[in-house]
This record gives sequence, structure tokens and C-alpha cells, in this order.
Amino acid sequence: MKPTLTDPALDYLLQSAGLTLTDAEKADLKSINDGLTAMKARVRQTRGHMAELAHTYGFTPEDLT
Amino acid sequence: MSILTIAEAASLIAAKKLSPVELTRACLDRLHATEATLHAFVLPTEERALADAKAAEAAIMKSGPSGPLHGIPIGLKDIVNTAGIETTCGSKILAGNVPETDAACAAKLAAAGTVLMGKLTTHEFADGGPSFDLPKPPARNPWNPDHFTAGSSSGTGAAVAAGVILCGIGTDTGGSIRGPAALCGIAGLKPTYGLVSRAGVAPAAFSLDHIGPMAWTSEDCAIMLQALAGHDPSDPASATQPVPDYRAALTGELKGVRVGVIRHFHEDDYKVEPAVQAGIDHALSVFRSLGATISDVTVSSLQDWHACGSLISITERAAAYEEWAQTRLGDFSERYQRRLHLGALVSGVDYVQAVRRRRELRSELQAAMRDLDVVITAGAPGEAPRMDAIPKWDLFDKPNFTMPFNVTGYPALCVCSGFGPGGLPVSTQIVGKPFQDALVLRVGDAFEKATDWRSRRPALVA
Repeated sequence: MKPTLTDPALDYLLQSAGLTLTDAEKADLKSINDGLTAMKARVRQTRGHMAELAHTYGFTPEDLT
Repeated sequence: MSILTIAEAASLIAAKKLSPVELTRACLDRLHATEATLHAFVLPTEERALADAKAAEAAIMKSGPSGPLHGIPIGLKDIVNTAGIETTCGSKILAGNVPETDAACAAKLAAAGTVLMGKLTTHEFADGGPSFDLPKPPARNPWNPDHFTAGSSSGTGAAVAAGVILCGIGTDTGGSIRGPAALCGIAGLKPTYGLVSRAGVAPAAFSLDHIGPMAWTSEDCAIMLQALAGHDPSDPASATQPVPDYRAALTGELKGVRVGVIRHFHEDDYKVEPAVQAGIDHALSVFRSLGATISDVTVSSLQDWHACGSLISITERAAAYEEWAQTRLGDFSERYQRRLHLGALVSGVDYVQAVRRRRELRSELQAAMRDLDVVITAGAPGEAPRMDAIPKWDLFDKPNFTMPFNVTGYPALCVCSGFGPGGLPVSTQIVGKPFQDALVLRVGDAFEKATDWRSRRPALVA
């Protein structure tokens, strides 16, 4: 089911991000939510065990002493 | 004086047939003649340029040039810190900001004896343009000033194409070197991730940011890359790979080079304009005539790569500029504010899924290139659009042909491969394996020398 972005949900997200938007800016942002949702779906395809963040620490000789 | 490439100017300077002061004055004359139209500079540094040129001339007269960049007029994108010279990132936010030290790339180019002509126009904090509500107007395309340069290295693209500078620094998070290179008809290389230090350059999205050369030819990009490449402990992502001789790799022939074509990117996923397709087809025939073999290759759809890179970019940008977004949001341009708003709609889980997807996409390209040396696709979907035709939410308008190689970190070069019906340039993109930047430049250089696209300059300066 495609998530919908309600006004209270948008207000919550903006408040969490510390952003203050006008009503017109909020409406503008809501207008692209379908596009953003489509992008999010594209990074949620089936994946194997290699699909980790693969952070490497790059330990230096100094770290190991 | 006719417009010269770095290679041409360096040869004349070494032979003492051209003085850096004479060359710099010619570039300053061109700046004065074009700047009111192009807006390529946020801050010309004429006094500094003449001082640099006189110093270079004195040193060359005494002991010859230190290298091919000695006495060459350049520009730096205004997200590159310059000691004692205002660096604003094109934004009201940083008005009056004067760094105490040079960015690593600026210091390296200064050490190579270049002549600094000024700070070049950029989209605000390297994203989101064109904006008409910034302290300086957006740069315009020298081939037709009613048209867009692309960005965010917009001033570098315009100034190089117009011959105001012989080369300049660009930065590339989703295509900000290659986009302006494509639309302004020059060469622009996004080097392998980590090859050129990002120290002292404002971030756009940490894991996608690259610094690289923009110049009239691939050979000039090779000359510039030679000065820029190399490990820098002050950049946490800096690579430790040895730096080869990039210019020596430009042999002019492609015998045995295996070229893959990601045809579905530009023919199916997002169909490019006919002139772009013709440019790519012509490039393939030139590569074949120079001894390369050609085959098609398939990877995930362009839209998948675009989505992955965009989600990472949105989130990392929001993190980089969180404090100002919360305290000074109204001081950003409307376009950049919209970019920052997006950060609120991308969750931590979305970001992690995008980074996991990036790992898969990188593996996919690695496998696809196992038996290939380079792959090619379009640099941009068509000729430069009009300035007033850029959508408000361009991120969602169409996928981006350059983003896939920010996602992988692979080196990618855009070269001019023709002109469209509007008289504006079109481009082909050449992509190599990690740290095979020399081979990418060799393919671009061979193509440029086998065709005559480099003989045409914008009418504004021709």
C-alpha cells in the first residue's frame, strides 16, 4: 500500500527535522511525495547478504599498538 | 590572441614565444568582454591574476617553466576555500567569509604556478540551480545565453567554453562537473572517488562528492589531474593509490580497448534527443576505427541508479547543513530551501536501504565491466534547455545520466560529441574502472583528436 502523507504526519516530520515551513511550502513539498515514494521503492528490492553498509574502519598501525 | 588550450599555451610558454602576462591579459580582456553576459564569476581576482602572471613570468625567464600549468590562467568554483579571498558557496549564508587557508586543490594548483583569475559561479552550496534570488545571478551558456549551463559548476563550464580561463575546478556529487561540461561543450572529468582531495571544499553529500578538472580538451584535463591527484591525510576519504603519468597515457590509439555501451540507459530508460544519439553512434564508429572493440552491456535501469544516488544525496546534504536549515533557512535560495526540505521526508531506514542498494549496484557494474575497459552512455539527454525551462523540482523530472558513476565512484568523463539543431553542444560520457582515470582520458583524447569538434568555439568569442 502506498503510504500517504497527511498534514499531521508532515508537520511531525518537519518538526522533528527542526524546519519551519509556510503552508504554501508544505503544499509544495507534499506535491512531490509520490516521486519520493517511488524512489524509496527502488532501493527496497530483494538483496543478498553482501548488501551491507560495508563500513571499513581503516585501522592504522597506531590503532593496533 | 586566439583561444589556446593548456597544451598549446604551455608549449608556447616553454619556447618563450608567449608570456604568462600576455596570456593573462588576453584572458582578462575576454572576461571584460563576456562577463556581463555570462556571469561566470562571483569574484574576479584581476590584481591577483596579474601578480601571479608576473611572478610566473619572472620564474620562467629565470629557470624555465616548472610544468605545463606554469603561467596558465585558471578559475576555482566558489565552494573551494581560498586564503584571503572571499568564499561564499554562492550563498548569502557565507557572505563575508574569508578563509585563512587554501583548499588542498587550490594549493596544489597554486604550487603548479597557475594564475588565479577568480572565483567561479556555482549553484548555492553546489546544488539546486539556477537560482535568481542569490547575491549573484546564475551563469549563462556561452553558446546561447538564453540557455542553461547545467550545474553546479556552472561558472567553470561557461568560463572554459568562452576561453576566459584555460581550465577550472569543478565538483561533482551527481554530475556537477559532467553536466556543465556536456551542456557547455567542454571536457570534464569526475575522477575516481578519493583520487583528488576534498579538503577545504564545502561538502554537498560526503560519500558522493568528487573534485575534478574541467577544460577544453581531455588532454588538458589530464594535465590538470596530474597536479591534483594524490593522497591527502586531511581528507578522510582520500585514496592511497599511486599516481600515474596521465598525459603519457594519451597515445591517440585504442587498439585492443574493450568498450561497452550501456545502450538501455539512453535508448530505453530515458530516450535522449537524436543529436545525442547521433553523437554516441559516431563516437562508437570512431572508437572502432581506432582499434577498439564494441559490445553492449546491461545493468539496472537508470531510474534505479538515480533513485539510489538521490536519496543518499538528499540525506547527506540535510545532515551537512542541518544547523543552518534550522536557524537560517530563509537565507538560502528558494531552490536550495526545497532541497533541504526534502531531508525531512527521508528516514534513517530509507538512507540505509539506499546505501545497501548502492553496494549492490557497485557490484553489478563491477561484474558488467569484468571483460571491458570502459563503458559509455550519454552525458546529458540533449542540448542545454532554456534558463526559464528548468522545473522547480528537477530532481523528479527525469533521471540523471551522470549519477550512476557517483554511486559507484568510478571515473567518468564527458566530451563534446557534436551539436544539436539549436547549435548547442551534445556530449558522450566515458566511464572507467576505479583508478583507471588515465584510460578514460586516453579514450576521450583519442576521440577528440580524431574528430573536429574541438575546432568550434561559441560565436560570442569566436
